[in-house]
Amino acid sequence: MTAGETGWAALTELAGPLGLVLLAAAVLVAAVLEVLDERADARTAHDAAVPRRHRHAAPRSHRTAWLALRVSLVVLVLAALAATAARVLPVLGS
Amino acid sequence: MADLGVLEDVPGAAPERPGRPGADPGLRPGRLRAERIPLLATAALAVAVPAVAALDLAVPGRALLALAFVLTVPGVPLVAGLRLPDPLLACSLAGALSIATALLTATAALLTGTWDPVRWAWALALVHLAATAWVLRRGPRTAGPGARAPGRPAARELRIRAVCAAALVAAVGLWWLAAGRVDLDAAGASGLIGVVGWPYLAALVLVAGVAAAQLVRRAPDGVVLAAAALVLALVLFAFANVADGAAGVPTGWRHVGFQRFISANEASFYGLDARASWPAFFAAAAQLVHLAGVADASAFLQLAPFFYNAAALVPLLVVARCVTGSGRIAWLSVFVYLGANWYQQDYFAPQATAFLLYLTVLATLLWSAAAAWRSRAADRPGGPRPERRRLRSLLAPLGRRPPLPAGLDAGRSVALEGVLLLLATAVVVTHQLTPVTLVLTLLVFVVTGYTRFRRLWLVVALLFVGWFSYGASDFWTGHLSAVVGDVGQVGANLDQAVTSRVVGDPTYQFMQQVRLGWSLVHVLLAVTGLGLILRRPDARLIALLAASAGSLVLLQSYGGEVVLRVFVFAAPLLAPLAAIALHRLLTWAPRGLPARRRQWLALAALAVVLTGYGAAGTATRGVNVSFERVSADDVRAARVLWANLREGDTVGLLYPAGAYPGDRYGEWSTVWLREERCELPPEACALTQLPRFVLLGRTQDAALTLVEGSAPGASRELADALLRSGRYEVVYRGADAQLLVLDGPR
Repeated sequence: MTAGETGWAALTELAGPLGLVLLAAAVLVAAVLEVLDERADARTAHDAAVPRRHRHAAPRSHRTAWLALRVSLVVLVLAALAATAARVLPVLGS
Repeated sequence: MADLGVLEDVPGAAPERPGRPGADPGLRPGRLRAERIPLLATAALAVAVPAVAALDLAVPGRALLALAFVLTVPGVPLVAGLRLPDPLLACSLAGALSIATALLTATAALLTGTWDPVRWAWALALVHLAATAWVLRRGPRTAGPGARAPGRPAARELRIRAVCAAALVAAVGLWWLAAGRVDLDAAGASGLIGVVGWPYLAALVLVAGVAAAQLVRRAPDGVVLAAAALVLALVLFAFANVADGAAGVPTGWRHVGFQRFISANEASFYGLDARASWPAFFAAAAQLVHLAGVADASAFLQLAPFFYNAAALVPLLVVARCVTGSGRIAWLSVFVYLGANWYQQDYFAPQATAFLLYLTVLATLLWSAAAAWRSRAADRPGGPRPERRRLRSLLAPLGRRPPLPAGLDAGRSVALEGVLLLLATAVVVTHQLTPVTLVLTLLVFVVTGYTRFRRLWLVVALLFVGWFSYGASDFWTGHLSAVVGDVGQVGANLDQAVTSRVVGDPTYQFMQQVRLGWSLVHVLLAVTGLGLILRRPDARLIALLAASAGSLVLLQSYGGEVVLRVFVFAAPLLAPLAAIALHRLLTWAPRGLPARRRQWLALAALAVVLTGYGAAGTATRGVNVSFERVSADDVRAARVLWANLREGDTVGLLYPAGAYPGDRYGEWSTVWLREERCELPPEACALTQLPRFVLLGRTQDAALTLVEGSAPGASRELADALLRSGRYEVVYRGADAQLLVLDGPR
């Protein structure tokens, strides 16, 4: 067995549990983003109903965290799909 | 759904009143008081059912109480806590949430090895009681500005109700008479419609008359229309089973077999059938059987088609109201839906349960889209702006987030999304195909900008991928290429679903073509209806939703059933669209005709159309009745078989018909005696293979005659030949079935 084959075998073996964890993480992040979106929307609706001086802009750290969550969702989804494919494709090939 | 003025609306047909997000415009004081009754009643039920099951008391109606438990616990208080302004939607969600919880807890019990139906029922009861206490403690909210107490119907209204009720009772009586007189043995290639008799048709005429009389009134009575729809569902979907005194469709009996396996082994039937990887429905049925104190799930088989169709009416009405924008046409849609539903996917099965959950999700999303856009239209003077046909306007919906529906705040919107996620999760672990349709549906709402739940499709898709890859690996390991091989094979998938089914006896072939023609008429009417609402901004959403169901043909042949499934999933949208076209057609009258005469004309035309729908529904649905039915005698023969089976036995059959798969699943195997399967004539096949039992009967004969084109009486001839050979003797012989056993060693 070459080093490449050994590496691939190890990767496909790891893909099983890793894919499951990544899928769960992606679901969690997507759910958190849905809740955050709804809260932001409620804040926007509230802001629209009050004078400008009473409005509170979201802190920069919140916006950065939000962006990070969005990016991590994309990464997690892609990684989860890749891990799942690595687990399923060998079966398809056989 | 901003432009709802295309079609007239009906006074009292409950279109949502416009209001601001956060207010509760739809919650009336009367409704809040009325909510206490089901809350307290279901709380009592939540305690009573596990208690009765724990003590194993022989209480009369225990099975019905257990069924009510599964349908209401813990959904009723949890959905009451959402305070949705639309009572119909709240009812659908309460039922769907309870069913979803039962499916998920049963799956969890199975997978974690904590199989104890009574303990899980107590856990659900605790959740139910806690939620009830929370809802009751919060008390009634201030009713919105448009709140009004429900009025008592006037004396004239009560008289009309009494007349309609008498007509509906007469219809049920006639139907019962027809069920008692019908000779289903005589139903040959033309199916059920050839043998139903005049009382059945008279019952259809009466129901159609009542529905038509209500639909042409200025203010149709929802109570009478609901009763008429229920009677029509009973007439159409319970007839053959009630006439036979047993439950039809052998696959339903197979599902009873799966349930019995789980009840006996407290584990799924992995390795025996691919459906083991989606055990939720069978596990929930096993829990229900335990709570109900019955021997097996066959107790629920007979009226399952009626139950599923009756339960679908509530979310269907919500969908139809959103699509048609009219209470009157929404009710018409319900009757159209029932008459066009010949697909026979509503027996005791996972797909029927998953479809109910899917329909509830669709209803919720359409309701929230319609309610949101209606409130936006009310806020904007001059109504909604028509969308400009430019690339930007095409892409604009992707970034659009519709406003909160009137009566919902941000917190409850998130909770509503949580409920939808729970329903979707239950769908994922229950059925193979429904999650795919659900994801496509959710995606359509996102790309058209009609939902706030913009990542719900992604979460459901990930759950589906997760369950398919990890939970259902038994299913795809070894034949994944067969699973994915159908993707993109549209022609082959269609051929397998349509052309290959129009075979056998010439009359039977003609009836299959009648089925196809009836569906085609329905689709053409729906396309006409879509054409009539094409100027509405939400027409694109409705068209894409219907098309997304059709796209399943691109993905799978689903054992040759994909076209049936496409129609099943598209039906909740096709029916309202067809109703819009029918409404336009039926309300057309020559100019200058007096209003009174126009009304009579519309009444007569509507009554004829609805009777036609009922008759066409009976004809198309009942084509296969002679071999899909399971008579009481078939069940008796199957019980004798189960009682005599030993582990490892073989059972010879000519065709998969009857109740034989309903028990001892996995303990015996089938020997197919048909020449195509065995490569020997049936008699030679039986005498070579020597299965320990040979089960033969009228339904197997009918299948061979109609589908295979064999000469009638093949099973009787085989039985006679086997008895003459001296190797077999009779164990059971009834009017419809006989069971032979091998005499001596093999």
